[in-house]
Amino acid sequence: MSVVKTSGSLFVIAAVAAAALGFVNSATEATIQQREIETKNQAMKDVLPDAAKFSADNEINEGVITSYSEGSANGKVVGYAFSVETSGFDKGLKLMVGIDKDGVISGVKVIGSKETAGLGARAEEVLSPEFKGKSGELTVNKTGNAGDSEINAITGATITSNAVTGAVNDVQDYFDQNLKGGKG
Amino acid sequence: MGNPIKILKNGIIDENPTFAQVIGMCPTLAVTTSAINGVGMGLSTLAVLTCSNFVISVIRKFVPDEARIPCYVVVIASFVTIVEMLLKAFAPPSLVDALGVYIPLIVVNCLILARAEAFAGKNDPIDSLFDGLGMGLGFTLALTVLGAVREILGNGSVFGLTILPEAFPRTIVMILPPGAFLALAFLMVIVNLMRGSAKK
Repeated sequence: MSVVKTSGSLFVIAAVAAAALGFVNSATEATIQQREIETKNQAMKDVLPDAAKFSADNEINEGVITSYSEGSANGKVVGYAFSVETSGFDKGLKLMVGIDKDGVISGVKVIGSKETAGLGARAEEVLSPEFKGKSGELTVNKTGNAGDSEINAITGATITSNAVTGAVNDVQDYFDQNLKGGKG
Repeated sequence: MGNPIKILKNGIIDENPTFAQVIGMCPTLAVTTSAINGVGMGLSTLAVLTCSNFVISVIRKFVPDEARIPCYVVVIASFVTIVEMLLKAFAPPSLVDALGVYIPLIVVNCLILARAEAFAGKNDPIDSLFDGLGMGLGFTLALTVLGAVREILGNGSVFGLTILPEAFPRTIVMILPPGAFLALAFLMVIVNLMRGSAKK
């Protein structure tokens, strides 16, 4: 009898909890998805400002690159926005990398990171402007006066700087091999 | 029913979860790299703790003694999941990112189960509600102060606003994991000295 009472009460509690969770999930699911899409669209616009329209995502899952989207204006392809997920000081460093049709980086944006506050977490503010307008294999420079194919590292966050730069290089390689000249 | 003010004060000062009971150390040390993270984690815990304390107190007579821990865990885990969904839907994305993996960890934060066992399972729902509020506020306060101290020393800012002049050296170690232990130790000394002198 006591077994029935013990498991019965646990069953009742679990059932009520499941119902409550289902209710909250149905109430928030749409908002959560909507927010994810909005964040992504905004990021794509930021890294590829010339594009007026973006194609649906092409899932590729090659190395750090998860997917890319073709950006166009007036019916012509102007560039590509790549979703990238790499690891810096911690995993889950998500970037959006924009490359125009000539292979020049049009923008890099940090969408999500768990990097150290005040150091790696400043990637968006410190590193993003560094990439704009550059192209070709990039290396990290720690002296603070980077040349044409170099990126100034964030002081105290070399690992994050390397991770972001490495990811951007991977994106450029993918672009050169698969998309350059309108092949994609 | 006890005195709500007294129960609140007990949670915030006399038995502050962080400075007096020293429980729930994992989130305390891990997320307090900035003041805003401290507030976010504190308030999420506060919400879960208050709700779970209340509900556990309501069901305490219905739950058989042998099955109480699994029942409490189901209640707590459900509230954590609800808080997580609400945060994802309505909180600023940067905060959601920063708290990330720590939100599900509220389930195993011993503070919540400790209050369920020590208070909510033995007292009436209203008292338990206030106990959850008091303990939650005490926890939020401790995490916010800790986050602010680490952010000021490590990054020269508080709540994202730079307050130290550029020339003032930043002690980067304070926002790295060792800084959590250093800052917590010094804060604990200060708080307990104040508490000691208040008693005399």
